[in-house]
Amino acid sequence: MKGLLKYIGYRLLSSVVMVFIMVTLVFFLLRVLPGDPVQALTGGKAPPEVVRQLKEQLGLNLPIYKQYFRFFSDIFHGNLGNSIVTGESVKSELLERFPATLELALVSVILAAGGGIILGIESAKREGTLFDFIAKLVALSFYAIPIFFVGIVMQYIFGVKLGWFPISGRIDPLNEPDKVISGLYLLDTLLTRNFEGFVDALKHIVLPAFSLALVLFSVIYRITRGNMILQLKKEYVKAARARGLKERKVVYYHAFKNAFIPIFTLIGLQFASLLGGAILTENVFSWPGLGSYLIDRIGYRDFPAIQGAILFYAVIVVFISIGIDIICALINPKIKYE
Amino acid sequence: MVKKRLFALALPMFLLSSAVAGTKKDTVTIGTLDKWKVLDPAKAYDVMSCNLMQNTLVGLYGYKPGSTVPEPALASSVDISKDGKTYVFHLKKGMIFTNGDEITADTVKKAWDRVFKLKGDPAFLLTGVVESYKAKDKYVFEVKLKYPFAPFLSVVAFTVAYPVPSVFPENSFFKGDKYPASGPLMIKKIKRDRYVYLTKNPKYFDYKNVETKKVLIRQYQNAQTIRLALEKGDIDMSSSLTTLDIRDFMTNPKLKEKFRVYVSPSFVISYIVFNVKKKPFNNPKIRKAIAYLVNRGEIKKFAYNDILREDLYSMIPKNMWGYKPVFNKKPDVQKAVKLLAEAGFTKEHPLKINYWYPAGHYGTDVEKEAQIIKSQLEKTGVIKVTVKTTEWPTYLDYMTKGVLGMFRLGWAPDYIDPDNYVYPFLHSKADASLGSFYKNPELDKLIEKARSESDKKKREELYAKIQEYLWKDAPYIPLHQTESAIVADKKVKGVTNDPVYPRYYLLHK
Repeated sequence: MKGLLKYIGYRLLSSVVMVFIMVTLVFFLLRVLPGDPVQALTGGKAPPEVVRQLKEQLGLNLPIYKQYFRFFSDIFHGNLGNSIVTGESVKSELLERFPATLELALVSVILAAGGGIILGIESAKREGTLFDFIAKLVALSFYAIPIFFVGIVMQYIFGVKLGWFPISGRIDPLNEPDKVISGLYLLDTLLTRNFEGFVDALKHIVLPAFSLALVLFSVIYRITRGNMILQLKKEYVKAARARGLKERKVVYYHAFKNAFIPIFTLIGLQFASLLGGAILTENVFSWPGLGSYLIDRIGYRDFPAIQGAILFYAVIVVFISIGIDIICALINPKIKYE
Repeated sequence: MVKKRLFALALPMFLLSSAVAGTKKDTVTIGTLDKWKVLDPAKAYDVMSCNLMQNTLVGLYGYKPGSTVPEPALASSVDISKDGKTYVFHLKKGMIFTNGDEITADTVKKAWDRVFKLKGDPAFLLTGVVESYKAKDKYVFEVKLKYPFAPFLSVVAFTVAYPVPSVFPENSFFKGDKYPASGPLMIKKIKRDRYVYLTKNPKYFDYKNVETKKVLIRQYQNAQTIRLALEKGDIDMSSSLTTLDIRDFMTNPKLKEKFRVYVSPSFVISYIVFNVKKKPFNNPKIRKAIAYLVNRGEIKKFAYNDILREDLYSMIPKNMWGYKPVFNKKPDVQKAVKLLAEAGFTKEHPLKINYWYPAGHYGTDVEKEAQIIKSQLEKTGVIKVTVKTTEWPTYLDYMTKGVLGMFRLGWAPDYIDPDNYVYPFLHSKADASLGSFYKNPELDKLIEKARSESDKKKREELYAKIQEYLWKDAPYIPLHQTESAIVADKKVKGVTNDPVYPRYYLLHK
């Protein structure tokens, strides 16, 4: 346990350094690469002297090192600056977008992990059979299909033709909860007992979550199957069977427990990457998350927004990967951190 | 076993599906790709922000639906001095914002104070021509110009000159998204990048003539989804579809049953720019040779699905007064080859050039357009074209730095007047921002004269002369004027496809 604490401390410290380097890199890259927020904003329509003036207003005429120090002193004061495009605080824009991303990531990871693990285990049990073959083929083809294509096809079939689900957005605007508690609509509507809103939000998330889950599912399926096949061949499984334990317990408890750590790590990292926003899915379903925010603002060279979003994302990834390590250590005491 | 349980959970969801209330019947829902950036007349310079404000606020001057001539709105009349430098606006009495505040000359003055002080993106439209302004009386607003400027009323009709309610701070831009309205509609509910919900403003002076009850504008991230949303019935209308989809709505009998396509000319033009300082485009013969080779009809047919484009032979659009077609109507390869030979280029010693277009910014059809232009130029055997592209902010950066030699741009006007198609392109004071770096002192004088002349007929003559320079020096090649298309469910009434801005307040079911 002491080793683990020390390890976490070390990881946190190195993460701070990593985040610092990353943000610095982004800061300078943005300013070195061609493209300028004022031009992007006025679309080349404003006369040159106006462009100069606007740059001055935004502090973009200052020497880069001065801008850099200003940026960092702002960060230490918990301030990510104001967006150049909208004038709003980047922090509040990110916090408004993040729940949408989190909600979609949570639902699709749950769907993908549920399906992937169960099918992976069943496949491993029946290694080499027709069932295994078909499952493998299905997973592979899901993995191979571009996600936006899956999205559009689902929109067309389940949205337009069958009319079961809405094809865009998080909720019908007129059902939008007035009170934001967590920002997760599925949770907020339940907490405020707005069941109509809950059903609406649930229906809105079905298509984007499924199309995102399909790709994740195939990855999780592959790694579960592989690990389970390895475990099922081990001596302790034979021993457990010999002791007369029920097959289901042998597979789902004993073997799976040992196969779990790489699967869990994979799921955790996939989850973290989804929190940066699933850009293609967000685009197809007009899901108002972080990914589309970042892309949109890159198109305007909105420096504060881009820097803020990347910092935010880096911090999340760091925390999740540390979280994964802790959970793994707790599940399997054999893992030692020195 | 577990899977069965999942299904058991999913089933009631399907059953509940019909219970969702959804959007109400009296609401017209619009799908769009445009996002509003900032709702402050002193700062906003993008289409969507301006559209929203034009429907929720009123200026001294405005446009009647379908018209492009500015007419009094908040003002009842204007007196213009003989020298064309003083404008005295007489305001209507009893015009109010929804919070009850009356709009007086002082309200206008305070709004202009903000524009002059905060110097936001569109401020130059006012600050460039206005010398001073004051509230002469409670209902009289006087403006003195630096020089006589004929299109001034068109600038007054643009959002930058709109009076704003007192919630707009004196010393900073407005950061909120709801404000007391003075226009036909007001913002009821709004979420950035997602939707805007507008309702009728009960305190609007012309309340009786507003047929709209509620308008919901939903923002999408790609045109494909908008098309599906139309078919599904999530939205009633949209003007953000691709030409391919619009064509489908025009021709597919099933879609034609339910939808109508409203097409009308817009004031948006597309054109090729030459950086006249960059070799080889500093040679007018080469620019002209290229102008002789461009076949606009072919581009329309193969790049734009043969819809929504009209060939354009000047930088001033066809549907605007002053238009004079100066460019060659039919491509002339022989003349082009001759000019190229004079410039020293032959089949043995071909001219090698780059042609640039911005990726994504004008949709995907410009890519095809670029390839067609390439083939048209290469038909001579004397020109070799390399098509290049980059994303928009980089493109703008390259353009203003003079990296781009021959490249594609588009233009949507700030105010509806020929001046807005001439001054920014040809006057030496505005050269760098549009990438041509063209300077001609003779022409500068003509342009200045044309914008300060108040007699329309004389102005027309001046613009005819100016356009001749356009052909003579060919710093630009006009390509097309676009038509805008709205696809709307037949249930929706009051669709106008207005050339100035979309009239949300006329829509109803």
